[in-house]
Amino acid sequence: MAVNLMINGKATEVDADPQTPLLWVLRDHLGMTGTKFGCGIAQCGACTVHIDGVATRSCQFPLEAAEGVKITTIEGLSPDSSHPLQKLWVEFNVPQCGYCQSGMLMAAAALLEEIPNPTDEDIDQYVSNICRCGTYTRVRAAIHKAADMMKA
Amino acid sequence: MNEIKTTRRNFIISSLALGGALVIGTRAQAATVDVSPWDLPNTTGSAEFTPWLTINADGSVIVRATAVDIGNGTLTQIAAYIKEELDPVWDQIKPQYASTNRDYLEENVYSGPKVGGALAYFSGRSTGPARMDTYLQVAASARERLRAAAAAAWSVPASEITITEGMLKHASGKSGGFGEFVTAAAAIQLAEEPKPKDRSQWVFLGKKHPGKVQLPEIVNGSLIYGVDVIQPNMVYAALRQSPVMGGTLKSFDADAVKSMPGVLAVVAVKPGDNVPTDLKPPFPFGVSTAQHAVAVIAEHYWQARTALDALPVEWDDGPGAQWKTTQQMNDAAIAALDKPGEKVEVSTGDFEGVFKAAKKTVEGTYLTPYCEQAPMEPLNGTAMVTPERVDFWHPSQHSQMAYMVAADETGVKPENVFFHQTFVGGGFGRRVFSDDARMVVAVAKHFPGRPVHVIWSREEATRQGRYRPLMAGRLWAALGDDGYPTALQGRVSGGPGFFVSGINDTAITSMLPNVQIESQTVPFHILTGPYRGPGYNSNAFFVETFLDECAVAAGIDPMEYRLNIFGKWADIGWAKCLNEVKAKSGWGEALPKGQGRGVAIANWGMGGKADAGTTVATVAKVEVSKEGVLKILQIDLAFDTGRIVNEDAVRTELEGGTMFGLNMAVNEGLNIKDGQIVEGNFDEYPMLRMADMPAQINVHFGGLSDNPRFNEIGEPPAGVIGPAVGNAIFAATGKRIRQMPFRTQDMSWS
Amino acid sequence: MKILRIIGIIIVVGIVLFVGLAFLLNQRPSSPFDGVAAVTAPQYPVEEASYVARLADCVACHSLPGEAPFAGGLPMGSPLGVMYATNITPDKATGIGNYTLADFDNAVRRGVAKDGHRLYPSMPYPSYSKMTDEDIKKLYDYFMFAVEPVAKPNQETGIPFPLNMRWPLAFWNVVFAPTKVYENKPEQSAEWNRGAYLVQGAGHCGSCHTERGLAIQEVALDESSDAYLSGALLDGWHASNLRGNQATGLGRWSEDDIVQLLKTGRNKHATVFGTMLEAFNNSTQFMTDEDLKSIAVYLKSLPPRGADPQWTYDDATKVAFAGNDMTAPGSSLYLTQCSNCHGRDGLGRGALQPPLAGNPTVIGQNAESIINILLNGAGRMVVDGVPDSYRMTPFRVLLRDDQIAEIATFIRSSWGNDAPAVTAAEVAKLREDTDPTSDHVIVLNMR
Repeated sequence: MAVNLMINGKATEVDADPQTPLLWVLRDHLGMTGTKFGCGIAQCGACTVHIDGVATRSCQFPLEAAEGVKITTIEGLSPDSSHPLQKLWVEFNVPQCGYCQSGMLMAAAALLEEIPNPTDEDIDQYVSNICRCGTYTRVRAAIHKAADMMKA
Repeated sequence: MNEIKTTRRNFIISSLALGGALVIGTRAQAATVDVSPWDLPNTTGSAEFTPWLTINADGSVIVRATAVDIGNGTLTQIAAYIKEELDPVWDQIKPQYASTNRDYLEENVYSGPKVGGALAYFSGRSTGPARMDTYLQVAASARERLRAAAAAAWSVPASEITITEGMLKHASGKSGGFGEFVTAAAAIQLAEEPKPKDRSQWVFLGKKHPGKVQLPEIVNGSLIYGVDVIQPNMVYAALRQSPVMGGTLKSFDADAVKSMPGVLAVVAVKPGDNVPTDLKPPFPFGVSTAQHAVAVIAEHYWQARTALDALPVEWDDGPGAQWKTTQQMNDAAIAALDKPGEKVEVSTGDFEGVFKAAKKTVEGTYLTPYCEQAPMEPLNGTAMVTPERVDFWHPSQHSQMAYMVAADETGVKPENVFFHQTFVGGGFGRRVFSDDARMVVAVAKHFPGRPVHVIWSREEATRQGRYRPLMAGRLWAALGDDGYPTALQGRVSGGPGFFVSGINDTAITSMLPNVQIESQTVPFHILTGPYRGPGYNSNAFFVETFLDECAVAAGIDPMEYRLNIFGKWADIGWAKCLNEVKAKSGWGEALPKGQGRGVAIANWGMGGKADAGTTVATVAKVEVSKEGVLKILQIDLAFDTGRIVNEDAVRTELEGGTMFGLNMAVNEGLNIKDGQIVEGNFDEYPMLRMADMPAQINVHFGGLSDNPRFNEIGEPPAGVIGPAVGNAIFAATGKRIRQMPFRTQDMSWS
Repeated sequence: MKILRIIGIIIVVGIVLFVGLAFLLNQRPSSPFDGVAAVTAPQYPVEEASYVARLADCVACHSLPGEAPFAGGLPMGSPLGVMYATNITPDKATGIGNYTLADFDNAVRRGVAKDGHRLYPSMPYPSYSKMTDEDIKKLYDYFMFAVEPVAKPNQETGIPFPLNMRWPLAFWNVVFAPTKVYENKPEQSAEWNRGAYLVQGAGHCGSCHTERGLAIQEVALDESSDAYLSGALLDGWHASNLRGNQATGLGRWSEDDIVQLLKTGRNKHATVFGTMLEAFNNSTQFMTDEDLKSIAVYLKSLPPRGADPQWTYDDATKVAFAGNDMTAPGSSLYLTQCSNCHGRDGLGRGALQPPLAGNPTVIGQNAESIINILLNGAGRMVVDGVPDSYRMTPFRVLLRDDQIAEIATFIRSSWGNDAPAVTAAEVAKLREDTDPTSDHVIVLNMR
């Protein structure tokens, strides 16, 4: 079944089973591999994208629900890695293996859109992604710093 | 040292014809292109100085990495060595993975004993001294050859030419980039190899701490991990292995799924179906043996996975099904401690005599369960097999092993096997044995001529692991009149593949005059493998919890107890680390009821010797509610690796290793039912998240002894955080935690 | 179905001792097929025969996951002890291979085995008694000729003496089990009558959806009582109200909604889960569109029971989330653990992830199902042999009792939902009573 998608501002048509999770539509059908597969049950957050601006785990988001919504992936977070979070991720040397970080960045970016000056508790709630390397303290620090930068 | 011979043979061999090298793999050019970023040809005008180093016409420097970067910064560290001796522009240093194929063809040019030994492709010790010396030498030689070439071109003495930030300069005003001299320099053979700088003259190493070189590609999602590989004409496979390890595939009904959308084939894999080679792998091929499995191959991954779910399969469970429950296995491991161990690991002095005479003895029994490494990138790989050639893209932790496994599985001659190392979404030991590599190739060889991308589901990866072994341990100590141990006996047991490191080779075992350590294997069927700090991650928990129990029995503060014991140890790092965390953690300051501090200290890699390995001392401060809910409030750790080069890289690894060990201690434990692993995904096998993080994780540098060694840091912190937290729980509640994971233990108090 | 309550049995025993009508014991009931010649070959096309087996959903109880269908062995817990579903394959030694059509009829419609012993009413013979002679013949055909015989001895129940004596059930049958085939109601349409026949008879919907009395009998077996299909509790699940109640029943559902749920497992209001998941996987999805429509027509004819409050969506919860107002207890846990699939608006996502806003199961007075599904997840739907990709994950390991109670309370009181709070103690009890479900696919293959 052909479904029309709006991904990172571009209209795209995909022909796949409507129950296919958006994650695999992105990765496999569209070759957009920045969005990662980690668990497949919306637990780990490696597959986080924005659906109409809200951080959403795409592994449990069926293609059939993706028509008519605005999808943003890590590839579309900024055209040139200029999002303050992307810059700070580099500056703070946040990632270790880096695999979960696309999802971590997308969750953090959505958080800052919703709550420009998040508390530690807000970060705990909105960024519940799993990082097996244990980068959490740096993720938290970088989010706080980004909030400061975006305020200024 | 001067072990790299920059002979003519080396520099005339271009890496052009030999596939396998890779630049940091990204799909920057186009999103959907089926590029193979691992076989970028050398650019025009480039020249290879040695198999380890190529300089391009634009002045960029390709350095070949012989250790896989699994997030530990190996590539960055290699770049730093080159920066120190050759001084190119930092961003112009391009680490590539060295070709395993070339290593095979050219007499172990990358993995021979002189450049790091048999472990040359292994993740651990990846930036250790042997490697460091090699890279420093390679860079220094290239520098001198560039200077010699420029000297000839400018007709000035080479000694008057300086190199800074990729530019050669002479006082006369002449200057030029590396690119101008590449061809000439590569042809020069130096009469004498230069000696790399003394450590005291370093300007980059130890002074600068650059972030990982692949960070820009991570933050925009373009870094290519194994699971991201896309090749022309590629198909996908979903995999299911015998639910009981060692079981066999009885039957499956391919007809039931063959008409499902996209389905191309259903294939069966069985062990022993390979075409053996006489290669000498770094680990015996046995550790890579495939389990019985069935895989569905389809045009798209989701199609393959959906059809696999629908595929009727029957298994014969085999003898593993005799292990009905976790409790049955735990009981068997503990029962094995009741009799003398089949193997005596350490025996010194007259431990029996001392125990008989002792007025006070302490005994403790401990248990650690099976744990899964659970790297965030599920196991996967892509292989294209033809009768003549194998191409294999894979996120290995040990590319040499994976390369040889691919040859051993297919029977294709090693020179025609091309292994393409990708980036790795976490390893923690899981991707070392290359059982995953063999499975990928074994599936792909049943569908020759098209690249087959095999992806494990998370459930499949979790239930088909090579786990940290289930281990039980019992320790006895005889305490002298002063309350300190005079003799120690320890017994450990576990399924096949357990390790005694961390108990047979630790300081207390080496220091005490009367010691016996025994071990006993229990015939479990569950497969095991390396897991961050093998053996050590269980044994350090046994030893350090036990030492705490001895301190309590002696009525001595646990910190003072350890300081008094390890203050006498020949390695000053132990006392330095303890004093550092004692001072920085607020040890001894009063805490409200329900809070407590605990300390633990251990060393990974010391092998029973002083001034070896990496020592870590950790203090944990915890809070336990009356209902028994645990919260970690603060962690302080001090460490001694001897010396360090990249402070931030060290800090990040110690933070990460502590988090890993904390999760292991608090959360992780696989259960067995009728021989099968119960837990499949993160809903059943929980992981610490942001909300579980302590407010402070403080890494202190005051424990460093400045002993002339640069030891590893990834594994050492994983062993001490568990006992530190367990000891803190005791301090807070009076309840002694002797079994992992702590979340299953009753910590309530009133 | 795993149904037995100790009080019920004790009362039955009491009644029996009091009345003392011992002469009834072990008397073989009469069947219209008595004296019929032995059936030696199939009388109906196998499709027709197997269709009746699908309607009656025999496979759900008489099979073990991963083993031969109908060979029995499924343990059914009861307060008296465990009992096991029997082997109903045509194996002569261990199954029902020696049953004549009349023997078979007596077992299915009257609860009496060939040897005269009485079946426990976990076998829904009070419902099956409404099945027509023809359907019984088809069912017999199916079991004798389409099912593979499997030699597997039945397991003794774990019910201790004297409670394991079966004879008192004969009296239970006299009081509670009708033996009359469904009779069409001329004032109703043919569609309605077909629906009633399916729901009351082979479909045995009341076994789960109708509450039971002290003697564990279904308090109503047809629409004559408004207790019929008004929801009931069993095995840690609350089977929902199928009557016309607006908030907690099918009042807001169209006939098409009902058909869609039974055909695909999902509709815009809800998703099958728990024991209904098995009924869907094994039975309802195989029913014809006409039969499903009939069922819908019949169910929609059942008026609401008792007070019938309306449910309307209230976007206050959504607004609170948008303003980062996390003051409602449980909202922060909901945001982290649930909102990804069920949405901050509680409306779910398409048909695959069900809404919580207005979901009858969520709003129902009894929270058992909600607690159970939060603890243990929902298992996987299997459509046409293909397990689905979207499943509710269990939170047994990830969340404590108080956290699950908080989430359950939150979803029961948000978006216009208005149901009583859930306590940690209720969660603790169910946690203990339920085993973890796994995501292992259970596909019971017939034939």
